[in-house]
Amino acid sequence: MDKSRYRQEVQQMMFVSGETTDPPIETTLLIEDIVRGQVIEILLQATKTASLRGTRSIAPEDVIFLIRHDKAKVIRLITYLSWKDVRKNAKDEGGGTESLMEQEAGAPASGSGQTSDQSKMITRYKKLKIRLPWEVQFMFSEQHYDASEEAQDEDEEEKAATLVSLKRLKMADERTKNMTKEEYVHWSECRQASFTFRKAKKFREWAQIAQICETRPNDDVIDILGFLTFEIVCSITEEAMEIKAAEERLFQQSLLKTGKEVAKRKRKYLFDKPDELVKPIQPHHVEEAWRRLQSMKFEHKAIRSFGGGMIRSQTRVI
Amino acid sequence: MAPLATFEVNDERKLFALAKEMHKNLYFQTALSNYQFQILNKLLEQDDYSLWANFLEGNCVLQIEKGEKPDADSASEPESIEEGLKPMILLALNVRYLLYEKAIDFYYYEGPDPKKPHKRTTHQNEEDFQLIELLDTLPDGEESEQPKAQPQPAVRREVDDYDDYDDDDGDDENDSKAKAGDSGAAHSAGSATEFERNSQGAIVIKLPEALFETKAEPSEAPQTDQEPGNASPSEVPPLTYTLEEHDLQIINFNKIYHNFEYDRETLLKRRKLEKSDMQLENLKHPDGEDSVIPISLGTASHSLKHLLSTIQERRDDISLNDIELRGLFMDIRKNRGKWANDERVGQEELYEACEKVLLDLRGNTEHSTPFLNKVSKREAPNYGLIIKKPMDLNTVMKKLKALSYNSKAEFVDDLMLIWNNCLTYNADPKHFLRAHAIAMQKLTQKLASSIPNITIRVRSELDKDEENDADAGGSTPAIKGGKKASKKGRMRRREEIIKAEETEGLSDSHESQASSIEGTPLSPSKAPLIAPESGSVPPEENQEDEDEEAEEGEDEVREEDNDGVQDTELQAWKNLTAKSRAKYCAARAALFDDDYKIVMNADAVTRELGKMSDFNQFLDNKDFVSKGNKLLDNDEPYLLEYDVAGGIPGIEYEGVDDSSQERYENHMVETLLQQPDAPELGPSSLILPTDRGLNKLYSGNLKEIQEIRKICFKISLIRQMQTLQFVHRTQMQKPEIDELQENDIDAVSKLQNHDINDESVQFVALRRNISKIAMHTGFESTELGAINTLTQIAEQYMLNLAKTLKLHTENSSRNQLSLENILLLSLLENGVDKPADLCTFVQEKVEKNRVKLKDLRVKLSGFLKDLLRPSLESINEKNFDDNSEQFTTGDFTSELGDDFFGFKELGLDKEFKMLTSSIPVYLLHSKLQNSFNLSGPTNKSSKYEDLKDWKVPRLTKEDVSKQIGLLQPFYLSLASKLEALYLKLQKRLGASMELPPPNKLYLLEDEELPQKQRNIRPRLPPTGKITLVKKKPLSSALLLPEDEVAQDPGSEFLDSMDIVPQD
Repeated sequence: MDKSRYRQEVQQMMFVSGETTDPPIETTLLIEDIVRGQVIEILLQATKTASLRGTRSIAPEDVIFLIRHDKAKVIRLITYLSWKDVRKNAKDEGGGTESLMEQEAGAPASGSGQTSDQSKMITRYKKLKIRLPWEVQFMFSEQHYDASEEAQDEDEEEKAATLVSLKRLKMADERTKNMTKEEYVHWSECRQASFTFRKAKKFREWAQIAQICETRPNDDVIDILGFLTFEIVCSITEEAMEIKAAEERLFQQSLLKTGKEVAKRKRKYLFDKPDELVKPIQPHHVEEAWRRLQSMKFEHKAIRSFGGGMIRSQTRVI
Repeated sequence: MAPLATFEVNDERKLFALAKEMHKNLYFQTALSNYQFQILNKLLEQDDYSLWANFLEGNCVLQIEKGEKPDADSASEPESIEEGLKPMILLALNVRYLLYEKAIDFYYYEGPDPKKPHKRTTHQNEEDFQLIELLDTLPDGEESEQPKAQPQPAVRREVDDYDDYDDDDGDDENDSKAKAGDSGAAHSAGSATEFERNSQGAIVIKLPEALFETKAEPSEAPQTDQEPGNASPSEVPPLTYTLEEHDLQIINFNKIYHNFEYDRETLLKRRKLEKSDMQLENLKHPDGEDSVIPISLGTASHSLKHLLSTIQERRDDISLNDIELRGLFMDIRKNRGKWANDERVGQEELYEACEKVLLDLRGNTEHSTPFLNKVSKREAPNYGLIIKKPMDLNTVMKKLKALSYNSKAEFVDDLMLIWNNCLTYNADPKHFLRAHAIAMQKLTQKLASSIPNITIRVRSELDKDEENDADAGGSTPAIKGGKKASKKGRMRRREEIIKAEETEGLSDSHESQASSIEGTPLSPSKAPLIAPESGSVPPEENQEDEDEEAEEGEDEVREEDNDGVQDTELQAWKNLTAKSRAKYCAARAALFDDDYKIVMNADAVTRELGKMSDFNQFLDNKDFVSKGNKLLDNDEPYLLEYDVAGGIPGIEYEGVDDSSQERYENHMVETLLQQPDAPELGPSSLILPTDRGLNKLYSGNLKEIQEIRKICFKISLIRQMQTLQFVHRTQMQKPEIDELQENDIDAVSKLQNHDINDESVQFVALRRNISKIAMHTGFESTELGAINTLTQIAEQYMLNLAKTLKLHTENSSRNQLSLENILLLSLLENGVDKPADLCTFVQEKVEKNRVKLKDLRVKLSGFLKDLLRPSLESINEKNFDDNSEQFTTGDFTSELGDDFFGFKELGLDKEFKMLTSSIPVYLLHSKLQNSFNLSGPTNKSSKYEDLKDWKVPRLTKEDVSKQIGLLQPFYLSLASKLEALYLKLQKRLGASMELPPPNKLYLLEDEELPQKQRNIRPRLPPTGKITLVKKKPLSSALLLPEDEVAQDPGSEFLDSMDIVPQD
């Protein structure tokens, strides 16, 4: 019990991705361990790339570089970061989001000049987002300054991301379909669960960042890690749920084969236990999910085929 | 082949005549062993045909009469001569063989190519021809008398092996064999009446022992015995004879088949010789340090004395060893041998000859081995008792090197002493060493004749003699002291001496007998002295001796047995080829280790093409002397049996060499050029088409990238110019970006005989494509090593893909996949999850990149234009497309030719060291920078410069009707407003109430209105909430005073600029 420091968060995240509200403590503990291992792995690999660049501190790019193949995730991350930036800047401005809203509302009444000012401000915030150094334009020694037309071609890339995010939204929709209002509120509160939000210090201690990194990673990196940890928990949970479903299906089939009647039920009485409770994810499901997520893909070992010998593999960042 | 008829019918009479003739020519003397010769000599002396015939048929028995000299002589008898039938048969065979050989020689030389490489052999041939002709001239009557009665000796079969001519021999033999017994008997009975016969009916030849006895003394060589038999032989000088014999033997070797049974022994003996050579060398070395140089140069020239002493002093500093040093001195003193010595006259000639003889003797390993080294006490403990003056070949060599011989006689004496010692010690007539000793003795005698009979005299004595002569003659003035003798004189004297020696040598050859007798005066006298003692040698010690050399002894005993049977040619062959055989054997032995296993890293036995010629020559019987074989000395015969690699005939196909290859290629090129549409002339498959497929996309992208790079360079240049005050010329050089080209493989390689699928060619082609991909990824340049590694990885990947495909197609399982599935499976196993991934890749990586790159290019060129804009407004885009910089630098003025900018006038061309009249870019860029700094306001002000002086006419009411209709109501309302205002003012002032004329009523502009009357724009407070603007009634607004309205608007009106028209 004392070992677990993020039980609640893990629970919430699992709930968001479809689990029951109350998974056993072993499961959450296991997931927490996995997540910590992943965070450490991410930090180590990012340190390596950073040192390749010649710096000792991890930049956000280094972390993004590790997940660069998952385009949708990258784009979501970038939008997340840029919006975070916008929010922060607006807060700094003083008025915060509220004043911004007010001004926008008042703009049509007060003339065109002011509205253009406002929209400029927003775009400026938006453009402060991270540019990734492996984009095509950085192939060349010179970059152009004006970024006004950037939005267009960015959209195209986002198309892929929107597809994925639509999928996610649909899944979330499915999950929340049968919820009551209170449940939904709970669910959306759970969505805000984070390993890092407002508890960066705790996160640092938990992941032993001080021991791993030479310099303190900046807040952006911590935020990215928070984002990624959420993703990790979600994907493990989803995978584990799939495994659990498959296992149950198998169990049903074997029951059918042995001739036992499944449908046979006792009469229901008032004080009977509620039946057909969804069983929570067990640790072995998580283990299997972890194995599956870590299994080496063909593309990573194709060059070594016919060569013999053991192929050593890194821990993969989920 | 008429001349050969004699041989075919085996006419003994003719053979007899031939034999007699050959005997006269001293043919047998060389070909037969000593005692055999004696017997033959005796036989021929009898000049009896029947005896001859019996002899040839092997019907003679040798009986040696032990005559007057009793035990003493027999004890010293050198050779054990077997009595009885066997030796005679052997001799008969030998003689027969020699006679037939003549015929063979004749037969061969009659062939198509009578020209012979060696003159001597042709000379020999002529002799042969004469002999054969002589045979023909013999009366035929005898021949016809005999033929039917000709006995065919059974032993002839052995001889037959060498005969080329008797094809029908088999038949002959068959019927002749039947006759052999009785006819032979009848014949002998008829003819040999006078001869004593033994119990078997064989003729007994009695020979006095004294005949052989003489031979025991080596000095009394055949020459002495010859004299009673023949008068002629002295005409032929022995030396030339041996040379002829040598060639003859060489020719004969190739008619004999040799086996390898003597090789082991030969090799062993060779090794011993080499070892003893080494010993000699080693002996020389220890004391060589100081003595070698003086010895080698003699007391040599005085001119070199200082040099020598200096070298001696600083011997340690010289890196050369003694031998090299000596070699150097020899080079200096070219014409002089190593024995040359000024002080000792005649030494050079004598010693050179002696050394040669000695080396020959040593080299005759067949026999010389036991005599190389001193007899050790271990071998023969009592040797010292019996032999008072031991001697061996190495000791002779040492003595020779120590210059202790003064005459030929001394040298030959020492040699003979060796053999005699041996004969004395090993008194047993059957002892194996005796045979060797005798053989060596013979050889020594033969060789000794080649040594000039010179007695060395010391120079000083010679000088003295000469002086005496001169004094006596009184013809020349006395030369005082040998040392002071002029060089010229010395030279002259040398020449004289040489002349004298030459004549002496000539006479020597004439008196060869005399010299050889003279040369060995000591030995006969000594031999008898030692003889009695040698008789007392106990046989056990001989036994011991043999035991010591157990292995060798066995061989030699065997050899001893063979010696009795073997013919002279084999002997000669053994002698001559011993060295090369030993070399061959050693070379072969090097291939195996001690356990008779092949040594893996030994030099292989290679078969060279050149060696085929040896074999071919051997077959053609042309040139038997093999040159160029490293294992053979130049004058040694080619040993077919030993040449492992050479005995295989060459291959007909001579292979492809460079020249034929070139010819073939030229031919192909010519034929290709005649047909213009040949596939070879087109691009090869290594070239990817640029108009379609992925390559098109890639090359398009690459071009785009290159364009962008060019633009980037320009931008960075401008930036540099803006930041730095000075830009070096080198920084302004454009990076050389070559256009990408698809270079095809060279035309020659496209020919059919070149394999375009060669691994290295394909690798390079793949590498080109890989580097394209690398460039597409953004690399400007790559290192070869890196790109090679990448290529290898790609190669590996493609190989794996192919292997997977192969594996699946060759799958023997019953559950066969369709081809499509196999392909999909292979792709999956190699990292392509689904074929659509490939498509996505192309879309994502290539096509999207293309769009992005195009975009980027447009943006960057726009950016570049922005950077350049201030000074380049008037220049249109086209000028930049063709990269002309002349607008920036003003280069075009140089085309105009004159001082367009006036730089020369100002003297700027000297100041900036300009050669052209163009503006230096660094001047230009500071201008650019200035214009950048002054960007906004200046531009605005300068924009309307032309209009500055133009005053806007003020509008009056009268002008309203002239304005455009849209504005007229506005102006009218304004005018009426103003009128009202005006009236109000007038009323307040109490002035006349009439309006001024319409042309005087000026319409006021907004800014000229009093503050209150202006429309105030609502200001947004920080809260963003728009508060309502308090509208003030116009009536309460302050009005402008009259005079102010007429004049320029006051400063307070300038504050606000926005007017919202009020209605």
